Amino acid sequence: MSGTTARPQSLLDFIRFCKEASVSTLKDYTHIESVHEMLPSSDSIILGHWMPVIIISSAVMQITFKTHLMTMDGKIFSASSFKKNPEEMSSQQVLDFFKEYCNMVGGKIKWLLEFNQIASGISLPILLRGFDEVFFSHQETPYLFSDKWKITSNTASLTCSILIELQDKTLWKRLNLNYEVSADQSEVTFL
Amino acid sequence: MAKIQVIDDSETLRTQLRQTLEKDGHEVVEAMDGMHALEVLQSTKDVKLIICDLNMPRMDGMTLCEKLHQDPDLSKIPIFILTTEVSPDLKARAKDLGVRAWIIKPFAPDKVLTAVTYILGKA
Repeated sequence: MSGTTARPQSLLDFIRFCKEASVSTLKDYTHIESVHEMLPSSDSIILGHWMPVIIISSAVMQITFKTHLMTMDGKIFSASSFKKNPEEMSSQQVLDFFKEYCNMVGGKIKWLLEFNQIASGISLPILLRGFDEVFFSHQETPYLFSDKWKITSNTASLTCSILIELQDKTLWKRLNLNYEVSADQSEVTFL
Repeated sequence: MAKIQVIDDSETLRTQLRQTLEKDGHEVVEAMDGMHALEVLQSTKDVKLIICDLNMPRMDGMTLCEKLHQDPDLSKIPIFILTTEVSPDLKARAKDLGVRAWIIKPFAPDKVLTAVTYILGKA
């Protein structure tokens, strides 16, 4: 979604990080190698039956990450993770799977904030109906940005979106996105 | 093979961990949050390892670790944290509470099993 105002490069890089986090997490979680990002194919506000949401909040910004999915697509993605047929997945299992997916992507976004010494908190994942997107309707301002992107595999797709609310407009000037994947992100660390 | 308690509010994560651990011959007892975990531990003997999420309703993982740390019997059970969190401060606090390993979600089954085998071998 293009904004009405020019976006600072660091904001674009931040959104790029979120997109890559959403794709890599879905790939790792479902074990589907063909998962990749695409431009959204619809301008519709309502993008799926379901909308799991997670919020990462700090003193300088609040980020709302949402996944918009149709039930059948959710079954295909989650069944791959469980090595089952999509028909074997219950709606409850699918929705729990995608709440946890939001939690994982939110964790990566929180990591980037902490890399920038920005203390933040993360909500529990919340499940909303796709129609509830109308409550997130907004107009882009210098303090409020949004974006959305589609993630697709050979057999299923979903849409992710992000809403960024700034409390400190100067944040983009000091945000350091020159990160490297460090030992902090390795899978198992003995303490 | 050992009895392992898995604590996560996500049924998906509990199921995937149970499948991973049972394939390796372990017995799994599940709990949905920290409070539920304490209830289960009261009625379940011989738990040799706890694998616990951090961000959970009712009682989070760090509060559970504090409760376990204060209990003379339960404090002997090694704990793994399974989370999306990577904060060094949280890790340091967890280490003080006796947490032995920190696993980032989504987890790789073989790496979790290697860590489980290593810790249970040392216990």
